[in-house]
Amino acid sequence: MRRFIIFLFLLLCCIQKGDLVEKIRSNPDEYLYPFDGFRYDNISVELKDETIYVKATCSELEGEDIYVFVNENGTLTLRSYCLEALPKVVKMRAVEIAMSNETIGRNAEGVVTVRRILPHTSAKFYIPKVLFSVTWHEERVVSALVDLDEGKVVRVYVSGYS
Amino acid sequence: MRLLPLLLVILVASVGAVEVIKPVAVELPKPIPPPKIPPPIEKPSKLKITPRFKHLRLKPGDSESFDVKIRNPTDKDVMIEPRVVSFREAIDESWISFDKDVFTLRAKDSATVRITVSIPSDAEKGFYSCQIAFTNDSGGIYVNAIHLSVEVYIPPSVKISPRWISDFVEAGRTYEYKVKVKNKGEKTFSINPKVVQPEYSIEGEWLSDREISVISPSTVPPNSEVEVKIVVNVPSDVTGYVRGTVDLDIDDPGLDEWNRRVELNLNVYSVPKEPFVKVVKLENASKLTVKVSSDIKVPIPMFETKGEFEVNIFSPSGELKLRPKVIEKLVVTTGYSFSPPWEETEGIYKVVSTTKTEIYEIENPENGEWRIEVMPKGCFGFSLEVEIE
Repeated sequence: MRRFIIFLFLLLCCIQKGDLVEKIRSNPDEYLYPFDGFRYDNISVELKDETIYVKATCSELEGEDIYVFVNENGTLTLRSYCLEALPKVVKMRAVEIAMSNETIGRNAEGVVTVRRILPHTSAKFYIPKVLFSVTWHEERVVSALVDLDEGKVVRVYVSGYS
Repeated sequence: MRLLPLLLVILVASVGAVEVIKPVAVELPKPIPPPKIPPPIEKPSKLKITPRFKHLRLKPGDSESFDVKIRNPTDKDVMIEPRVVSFREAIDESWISFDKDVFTLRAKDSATVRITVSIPSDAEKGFYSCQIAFTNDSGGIYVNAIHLSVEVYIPPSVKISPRWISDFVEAGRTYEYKVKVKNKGEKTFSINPKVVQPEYSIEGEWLSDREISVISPSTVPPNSEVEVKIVVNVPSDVTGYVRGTVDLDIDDPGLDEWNRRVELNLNVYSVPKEPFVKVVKLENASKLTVKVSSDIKVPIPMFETKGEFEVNIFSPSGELKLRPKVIEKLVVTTGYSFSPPWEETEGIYKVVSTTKTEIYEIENPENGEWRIEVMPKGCFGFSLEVEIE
């Protein structure tokens, strides 16, 4: 009897997790945030333990968007994300603006990435709006948080900088 | 008025000559009234007012209220009489109302005045300002006043994306850029694109409608999106940066002239037509190693570069067909603590760069002149290492 209850509990958990995966697949607009004006053509959803990994691409855009959700009592919470599916021109413009900052210009070295930052994160550092993180990955990580509408760098980060 | 100099001339001319001049009728200037300067207050009652400055951003038809706290630190009662004092580009008095007209603020007492700003639905976009004075105390400026600034804005229905196009382009080639125009409003807007040039000289070469053509629908219907194509024929004789501006001239009243424009910023480069050549002379060498890699640091980011190159090695006897050892290098981030705090990428692997290195090894190479040719294909440059043992 006890074994049966445990089995039933695990089965319910699996159904619940499966439901969450299905929720994302069937309603991507509710959980995912493609770059303004675009839609994802390809979405893959993978469940690992309590974590749901979503990879999404758009044929018109370079790069891939990755979302990591966690299941918190049946509610999907976005734990982390890395959104690189962007028009090339947006990336170039973001880099241009970042390079206009003196600290960035002095320290930027190595390969650069441009990632979209969602409003709930931006709110902690500036105001709740879509911003762009332009980051150079070398021994020292150098990054600019860029407001594309205003054409300005709103925050600068240099690892190990005092 | 004109007679006065004449009289002076006569008087000056008369000095030294003993001559009696008969009095002449002179028209004297009319006295200028003294300027109206507010009478100085000997001891103005300086009140503590917070805030001293208020800025509001409102749409036509909007209304917003805010409170101003007034404290009377003096030992005498003060008459409070809130009113609008206008400047240029002033706020119309009728836009502002107060919850109190005239009242007496007792010594050491405080009061709050609620100010309501109501923008008429037909107000024009722009910046407006005024002072709101609470007493008559002034000595040229009002002592007990706040500055109110209001931006009347109309939210645009149309969104243009992207508005800035930056690219690396090859001289003499044609490029097409797609711009999305999205109308979230309930009205159809017209699109009349034209290539514009700056009115005053700005550094750099500017493309005109000879080099830029725009393919666009004439309207963007409500709740829909249309595509505008900007075709750029890059002149074959340009180098460095070239710029261009396309004004989409969309009649959405929420769009300013500057934010309905698409700006082009193109970095023109020329691709080499011939391979890079390195010649080495060998004499009794036991081994020749050639390493070619796309792993180089460039000041500009490399997007969409494949990091490919073609290597050909010629011995004194002719071309060698060699199979290189290939090394692919990936730089992978994991959202570790060195990442900027605004990148919430914990637990996500991301390949941020891929570079390729080809290594050619030739045992007991022939004596004489060796020729190494490298032709870059889809990369901005490469590194070449030649090792002779």
